[in-house]
Parts: sequence; C-alpha cells; structure tokens
Amino acid sequence: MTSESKLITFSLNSYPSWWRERYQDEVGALVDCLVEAGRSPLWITANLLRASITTRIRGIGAPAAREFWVHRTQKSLMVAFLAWFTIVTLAIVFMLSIGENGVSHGNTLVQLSHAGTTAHNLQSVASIVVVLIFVIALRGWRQLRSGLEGQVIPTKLFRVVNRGAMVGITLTIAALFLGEHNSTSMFAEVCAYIGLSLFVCAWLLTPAVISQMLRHGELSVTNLRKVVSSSTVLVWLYGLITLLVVGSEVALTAQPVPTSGASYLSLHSGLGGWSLLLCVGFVGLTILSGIGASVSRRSCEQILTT
Amino acid sequence: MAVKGWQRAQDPALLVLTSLAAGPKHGYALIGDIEEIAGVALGPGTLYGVLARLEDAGLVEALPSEDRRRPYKITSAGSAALRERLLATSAVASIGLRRLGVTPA
Repeated sequence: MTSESKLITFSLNSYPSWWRERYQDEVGALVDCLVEAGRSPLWITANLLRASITTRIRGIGAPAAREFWVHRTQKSLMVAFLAWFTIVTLAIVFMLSIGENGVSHGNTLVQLSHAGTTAHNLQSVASIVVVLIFVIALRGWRQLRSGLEGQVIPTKLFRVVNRGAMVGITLTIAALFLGEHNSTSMFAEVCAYIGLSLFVCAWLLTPAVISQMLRHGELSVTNLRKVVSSSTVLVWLYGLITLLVVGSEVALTAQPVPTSGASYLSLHSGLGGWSLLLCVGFVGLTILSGIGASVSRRSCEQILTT
Repeated sequence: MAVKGWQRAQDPALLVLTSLAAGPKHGYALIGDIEEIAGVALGPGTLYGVLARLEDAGLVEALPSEDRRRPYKITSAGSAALRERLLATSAVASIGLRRLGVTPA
C-alpha cells in the first residue's frame, strides 16, 4: 500500500460510522476511478477530509431516529462543556501570572505606561468574565442535574468526587483559620495541602463524572434546549475572555523597556514564553467548544423537527 | 483571478440535479458530466455530501448497486424542485442579460 493510498484510506475512515456504513463502498469505487483517471490523490484526500469534517459537524446522511440525535446533542454538549474546566484553569493561571515591577528614585510618582494600563484593565475585565463563566456553568450544571435526576443512579465515581470536593473545600477553609495562630500553623499547612490536593483531584475528575452522566442518561427536549442555550452563552464568553487574554498579553509586550537608572512601573507575566502557548490554548479551546455548541444546537433543532 | 473564482462558485446541488435530469448516473459519471456541462470538478467528498443531503430531502434516490458503484436517479420531487429553481434562475438571467444589452442566443 503506497503512502498516497494510505492517506485516502485514512480520509475515508475519518467519516462517521453512519456515513461509512452507507457510502464508503461506493465512494471507494469512485476514488479508485478518479485515481486511475489521473486525479491527484492529495487533492482527493484534502477534499474527503474537508467533507468528513462537514459531515460530522452537520450530521449529513445521519439516521433520522430521535435517539440518535438526542445522543449526538448530548455528546456535543459534553465537548462544549468539558472545555470549561481547562478554560477556567487557564484563566486562573493567567490571572495569577501577572505581577508588577517597578523602581522609584526619589519621591517621583511612577505610573504605568499606556500599554501597561490597557493590560491591567483587560485583566480586570477578564476576571469579571471568569465570574460570569462560573455562574453560567453552574446554571448549566443545575439544568443537567435536574434533567438527569432519577435517571442516573449516582455512581461510585460521582460520590467520591462530590465528597472529595466537599472535604477539600472544608480543609482549605479550616487551614485559613488555623493559620492565624502560630501554635497551629504547621497543622494548617498540612490541612491546606491535603484540602487543595483533594479539590484539584475532584476538579480533574469532574469531567469524567459529567460524561458518565450524559452517556447513561437521556435529557428531555426542554432540558436539552436549556443546556444548549447555556453552552452557547459560555462559548461567547470563552471568545470574549480569549480576546481579553490575547489583548492583555499583546499590551504587556508593548510596554516600553525601562531605561536604566530611571523610575518605572510596569506589569509582567510570570509565564514568560509560555504566554504564547496560553493564548493558543484559549483560542483552541474556544474553537473546540464552539464546534461542540454549534453541533448541539443543530442536533437539538433536528430533534424538534423529527 | 477573482472573476474566475466567482464564475466557478456554482451550487453543487443544482449541478447534480441538472446532471441527473438526463438519467440515472453513478458517482464517476456524475463528476464527468458536471465537468462537461459546467466546467466544475467536484471532489468525491463534495459530491457525496450533496448526494446524501439530496437523498435525505427525497430529491434523489439510490438505485440497486452495480458492483461497488451505485447509480442515483432524480425523483419527481427532485424534478419539480429543479424546474422551479431553473425557472427562477433563468428569469434573473434573462433580466440581467437584457440590462447588459445581450440578446440570448
């Protein structure tokens, strides 16, 4: 098998199963004819790959059965919602990474440059957007839970994650109080480590719980529509926070370089070269989440018409 | 270049229905016929995306397969939709040509 025919086979296999069952044989025959007629295998591969993405997103040629579209909506919602965990983590990393640098000679009042002020303002708006993302995600989570209530028996994983998060939060709060007294500071440190570790573990496992719930339960159309609209709002907020983060990083780099011996005040990112990766992460997750939300909206409309 | 690109931007669904109006065809024959009548080279992915959508809409119908190839034929609903679309297009085309001072052959 040549590398070109391997590419064509790969592109044919990239189609969803429902499409492959129905069309793979005849498209395979067509592709053989086209290659024999001298068409470029690379052109054929590119065309098949582009069409397979469209087929997946639009559900072209998919069965008309209602259950299929309900599961498709739920799966795409999972993609739209699960990006939330990474986006929020990245947003927290972004906000914690910004610091202030400055040197003042004498009593001169030093102010941030125009670019520094812009970066600071963008960061402030980004923190408001993070809060909004939390609120909308909580609303979506409540809609999801109420929709699946009574259908999905809470699994062992769900119980473990739920209790882990609760214990983690309690220990972290307790550590804050214990840390105020010198006699208990060592104990407070241990509590904080255990509490935060439990919370992070619960945070990392929550996507698995959500996907498990969505795989085993079936939301009603009313619930689906509510969750779909929440995911659409979330995607807009992801887009907004991505713009704010990218804008803030650009403004940070646009700050004037301080001259030696002069007073200055500037903002800096503790991430250094990783900032670019952070921006790429935000853009990628927004696109992924946008695709999930768009597919879920289309699938939900399809359910309403069947 | 831009003008050339604009000229090629034709609706693949319309091209497929027009081609099938002459009689049932399988994928390769469809691509060849469309290239001949419109100068557009449809890729296999594009063609089957259109065929699947038209089949879902009940505008074309798959016939029993010959070997691995399966011919498609236009349905009566497809013929009606094509007629309607071509009449609308030809009305716009004749007005446009008249305004440009071109007499249709």
